[in-house]
Amino acid sequence: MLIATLTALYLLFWSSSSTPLMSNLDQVEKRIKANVEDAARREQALQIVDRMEDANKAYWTQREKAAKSLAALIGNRATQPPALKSALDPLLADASRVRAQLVDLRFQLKSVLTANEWAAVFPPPKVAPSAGAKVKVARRGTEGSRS
Amino acid sequence: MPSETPMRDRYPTILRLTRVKRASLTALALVAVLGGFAACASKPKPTLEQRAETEIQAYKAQIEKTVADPARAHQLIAALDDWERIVRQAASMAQDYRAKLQTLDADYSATRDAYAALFRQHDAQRAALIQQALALRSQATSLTTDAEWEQLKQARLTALEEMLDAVSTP
Repeated sequence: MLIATLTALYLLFWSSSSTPLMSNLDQVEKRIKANVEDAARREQALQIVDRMEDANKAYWTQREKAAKSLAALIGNRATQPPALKSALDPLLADASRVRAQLVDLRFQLKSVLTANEWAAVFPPPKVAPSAGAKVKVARRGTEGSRS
Repeated sequence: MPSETPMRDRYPTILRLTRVKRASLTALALVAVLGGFAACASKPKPTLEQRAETEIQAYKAQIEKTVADPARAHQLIAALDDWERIVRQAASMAQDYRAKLQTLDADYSATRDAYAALFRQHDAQRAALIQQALALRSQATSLTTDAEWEQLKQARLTALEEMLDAVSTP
């Protein structure tokens, strides 16, 4: 049941393996151009961001394919849990690989920026992690259900 | 002998009263219309939570309508509550995970070990939720006939999907 919602859930499981470093790459690029004065290091940093963008594009291509294949499997009543898990596992493994690649790129980027430049390029998040989880988790009752 | 008001004098009075009534009615109508517009304009858009609740209740009603056997319908509705809980937990988990990652990303001195520890924690939470989601889907297939499955599977809980999308896009 609920193919779209279940697919969205699996896509979340898969995509949450990516890192927020991938988001706002346009902003990252602008900040590097604005804050890194040394031309050689600036160029190196921009090349790393380009590779992050490539990973981002590959992510979206893969996500669209995954959404279609997962929706088809989920919608088929005959699909057994092992088959669904078998379809999901390679996606998760691939996501972990991309995640590791992005962390590598993150540390490569760090190696060409100073601490001050880093602070300018990646300003600290406005919301603390503990306050970030605002989604209500409490379980609802079964009001409206048959008794 | 009561004096009768001449017709020529009565008409103007009646006409004058009618005009007053008409004016009052027009004013009242105008107030009602304007009030209606104001009410529409100030009516708050349903929140994501409210939409989620409405959609879930509607889906429960659809289950009751589609599944003739009350016992199976009741079990499916209970499974839907579990399903909603998993979706909310997953969204909350992803939101918290992203916030922690952003904190690490912003920290120049963050270590690879710190990332690895966060990934391990996240992967373990994710694996547990995947198992629960698989089990619930399996339960749903066993509680429905082919025909019921076909009728129920296309339903959309768009508010829950939005919650997931909001935290799943990088």
